[in-house]
Amino acid sequence: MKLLSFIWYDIKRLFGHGKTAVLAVLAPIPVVLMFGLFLAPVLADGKGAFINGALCNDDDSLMLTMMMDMVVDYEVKKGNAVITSVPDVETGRSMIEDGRAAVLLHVPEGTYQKAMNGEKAVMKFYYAPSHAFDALTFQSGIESSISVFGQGIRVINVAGDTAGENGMSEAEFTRFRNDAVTDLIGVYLHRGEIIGKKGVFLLGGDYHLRYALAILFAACAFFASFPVMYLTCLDKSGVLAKRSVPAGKMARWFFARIISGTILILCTFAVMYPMARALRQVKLSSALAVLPGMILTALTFSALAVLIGSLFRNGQSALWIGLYFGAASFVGVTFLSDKAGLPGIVSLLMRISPFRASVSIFSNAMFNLMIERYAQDMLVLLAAFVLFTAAGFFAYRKRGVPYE
Amino acid sequence: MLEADGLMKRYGKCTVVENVSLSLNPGEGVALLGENGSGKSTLLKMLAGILEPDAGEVKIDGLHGKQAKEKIAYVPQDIVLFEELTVTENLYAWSSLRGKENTDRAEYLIRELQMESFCKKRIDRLSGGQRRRVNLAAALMGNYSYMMLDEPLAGIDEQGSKCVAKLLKDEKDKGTAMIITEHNPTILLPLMDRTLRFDGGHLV
Amino acid sequence: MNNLAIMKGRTRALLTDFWSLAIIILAVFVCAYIARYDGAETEKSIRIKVVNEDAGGLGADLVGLLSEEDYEIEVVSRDTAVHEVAVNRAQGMIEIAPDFTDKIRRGEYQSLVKVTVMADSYDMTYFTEIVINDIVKVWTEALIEGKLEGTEGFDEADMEKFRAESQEVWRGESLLDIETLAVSEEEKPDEVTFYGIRWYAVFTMFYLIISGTWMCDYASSGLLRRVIGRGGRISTLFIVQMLPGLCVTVLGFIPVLLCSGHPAAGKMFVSFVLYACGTAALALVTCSLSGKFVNLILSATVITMAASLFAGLICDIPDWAAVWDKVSGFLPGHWFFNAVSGKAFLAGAVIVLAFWFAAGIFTSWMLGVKRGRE
Repeated sequence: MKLLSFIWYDIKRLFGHGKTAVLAVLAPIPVVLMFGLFLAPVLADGKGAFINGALCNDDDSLMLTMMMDMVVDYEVKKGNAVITSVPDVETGRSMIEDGRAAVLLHVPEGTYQKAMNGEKAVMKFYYAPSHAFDALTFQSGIESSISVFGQGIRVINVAGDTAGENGMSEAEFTRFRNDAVTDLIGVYLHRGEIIGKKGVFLLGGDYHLRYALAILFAACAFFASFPVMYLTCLDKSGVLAKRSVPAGKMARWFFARIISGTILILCTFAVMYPMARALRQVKLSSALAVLPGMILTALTFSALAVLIGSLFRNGQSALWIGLYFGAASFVGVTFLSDKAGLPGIVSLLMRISPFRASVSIFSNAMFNLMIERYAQDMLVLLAAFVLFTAAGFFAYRKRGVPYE
Repeated sequence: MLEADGLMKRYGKCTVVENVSLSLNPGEGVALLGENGSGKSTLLKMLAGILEPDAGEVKIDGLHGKQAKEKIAYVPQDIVLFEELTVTENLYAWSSLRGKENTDRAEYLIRELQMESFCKKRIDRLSGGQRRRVNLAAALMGNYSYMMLDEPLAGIDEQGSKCVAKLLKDEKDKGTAMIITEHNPTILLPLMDRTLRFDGGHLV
Repeated sequence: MNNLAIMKGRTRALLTDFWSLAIIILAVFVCAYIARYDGAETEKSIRIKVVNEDAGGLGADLVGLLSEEDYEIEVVSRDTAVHEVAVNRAQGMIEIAPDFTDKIRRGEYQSLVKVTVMADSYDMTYFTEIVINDIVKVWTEALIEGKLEGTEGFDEADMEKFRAESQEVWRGESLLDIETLAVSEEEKPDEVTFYGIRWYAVFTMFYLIISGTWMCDYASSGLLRRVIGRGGRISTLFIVQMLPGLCVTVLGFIPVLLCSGHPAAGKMFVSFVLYACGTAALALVTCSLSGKFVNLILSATVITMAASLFAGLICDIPDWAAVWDKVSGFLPGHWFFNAVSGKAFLAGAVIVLAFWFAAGIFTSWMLGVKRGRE
């Protein structure tokens, strides 16, 4: 019998073993749905834009109006925002209450002039509680950038004062300030170009969601390997230990198990990927980068499951070890992998963790591909796969052939 | 020829098999009789290479270990099958694990053990007696010249027992040597050339 | 039936099952720690590598500003930076262009730096914005310095004074600020924290389900038939067998509760006992349906996550999902969360406990009968 037949039989066994494999494949659905439900308003509203807002500009200064128009126009064109101008705050607030807008930015009268005169000017940012997540992310971005713009004006005033002490006339100072403010507005309106991009605001926005989505991918894949772990353990202590099986034939059985486990895990990915696409509009083209990562992740987790299954006589012990290993990896990657100042051993474990590498591949490849990180993570997974396979084969043979 | 010399097995402080030596000639049939817990199954497992003895050795046609093991078909007392596969798939899988896939042999065993009516069914859908027959057939897939059968008729009805007896007789006639443990010796005992009684870990 | 003997046997089995017992022991330590340090500020330690190829001095000024942010900044060569990001020793890198100073002096701002951000940290959301803002600061200061240099009577001492005052401005308040206001009909209540006790409740649910392999037998073997045949009651058997597990979780809750400093400790204790009992009954349903450990390990994880999330135990339910707050009323966690928030819980918790208890006994009995026929 060829390896292909072994694989086919093993897949039949894996999926035919009660409802375990089906449960493992379908488990990501409620998990991803729960994740999606938490983001429901962000995903459902805004016609695909990051924010759907209203703008009430009561300041009639030419400079500020021009600046607002340029910011709004650019962000709308870019598809980052849908902005509606409203005549007064009440209209804007009622739009938020009706759900037609998520946020309202109110620029009070005399804002620009106040800032120019060195007085503090406060704008108001209203948001719907249902949009707290995206609105506050957007607000933080605007606030920090406007704050720097305001500080810039202050620095210009400081310079003017110093120059004034040195005899600069009022007319010269006005010209000096207007020139400097124009330059400052120029750079503010093209902030993105500073780092070679376009636009005013360049928020990471949903970096942590991307990260969470990648963690869910890896966690569900790991969970899908549990039936492999269990069946391997049952085989090792049952079918393969109680009958006389030549060692040479064990290799085919072993590799068939790794491949069938890989297929089971890939089935989980097949369920998850369309859901992830629906949730975060992941580009189809990124599938090309994600696919090798998925295959290698599935191979590695499958090999790990076979290794754990081969090491224990008792199926429950194998599953417990799998559970603790998975939980430790999950906690480590979620809370520690980005932290400096960890003990050397923890830091090393984080770097070589196949779970971390898998999460990193998904978050990297699905959204912004840094090829060096991608290659390194693939290498970590490949090394882990080779290591788990070698150790697993040793354990599998040792336990499967009790007497030679 | 199978030769066992000074076999011994202990589980903790309890010695289950103690200094057992026996030989089995090609084509010879031996019935191993004894009470429950007398150590028959342990001895059979050591002879089949499933269990490592604490002392002593087993030689088959002058060969040891892995090469010797490949000449033996072992029928365990437990049902040891792939529960999620059908009868036919089990036989194909076990023949592959013991050598090459042999569809003719599988068909022959299905016919001889009267398993045609349930050969497309999964093992976990079969009755206890049907499983027993598949368990025996799975062990008989592959090339071997010695058979170790641990209570092969347990749970099999009279009709089924007769099929098994006929099959074993045919195998014996072809020159296969066998050792059988059995509590109900009326059906299989007439096929055997000699009887050994096992008690307290010794041959008596 | 000898209930005492059954309970003793279950206690022995529970205390010798190291794997599951470790979950509740770990939960006590982790949650007591969380309860003790709930809300404490944690130091951010995102690692960023900076490649400063700037030929002038402004690149160094930018590095100085970046170092004051909540990131661990290190200046390295480009190869090192790429390697460090690749091997997960850094979450991002900033490459300052060789003509950074020259461009700024000329009043240009295009492509002054290149920023690479890895989406593998929760704290990277505003990173790009922060980098841009710092560059705008350097750019503004340099621009004004350039203009001042051409001013009559302006010497180096004046420039130093200007630089010092600018630094004060950057560190201080802005002239333009934004006030954030939520538009809401109702006043939002204060956010409930007490994550230590809430997460301990989550662990409790996971523990009670996953340590319930003995409950799988209720539906998969003839156990219940034998119990009924001998004149016993399924409910009594379940209570007697569940009691040791419940005692362990309740005992573990005490240090967590004490560390949390919850103002209504007595009420919290009562609500937790009711929650644990309700969860134990929910575990009976889950275990009966799972049938074996490998299914249990998968379903325990998903069910614990789902039930705890909807009940608001893992994190606060978002405002838009208020409907869950009502729907989750059939979960024991909902009423425990109410108790944590200082709302009424007693009647709801008792009804939910009775519901799950009845559901558990009925499910296991039904499955036992069904499998018995098979």
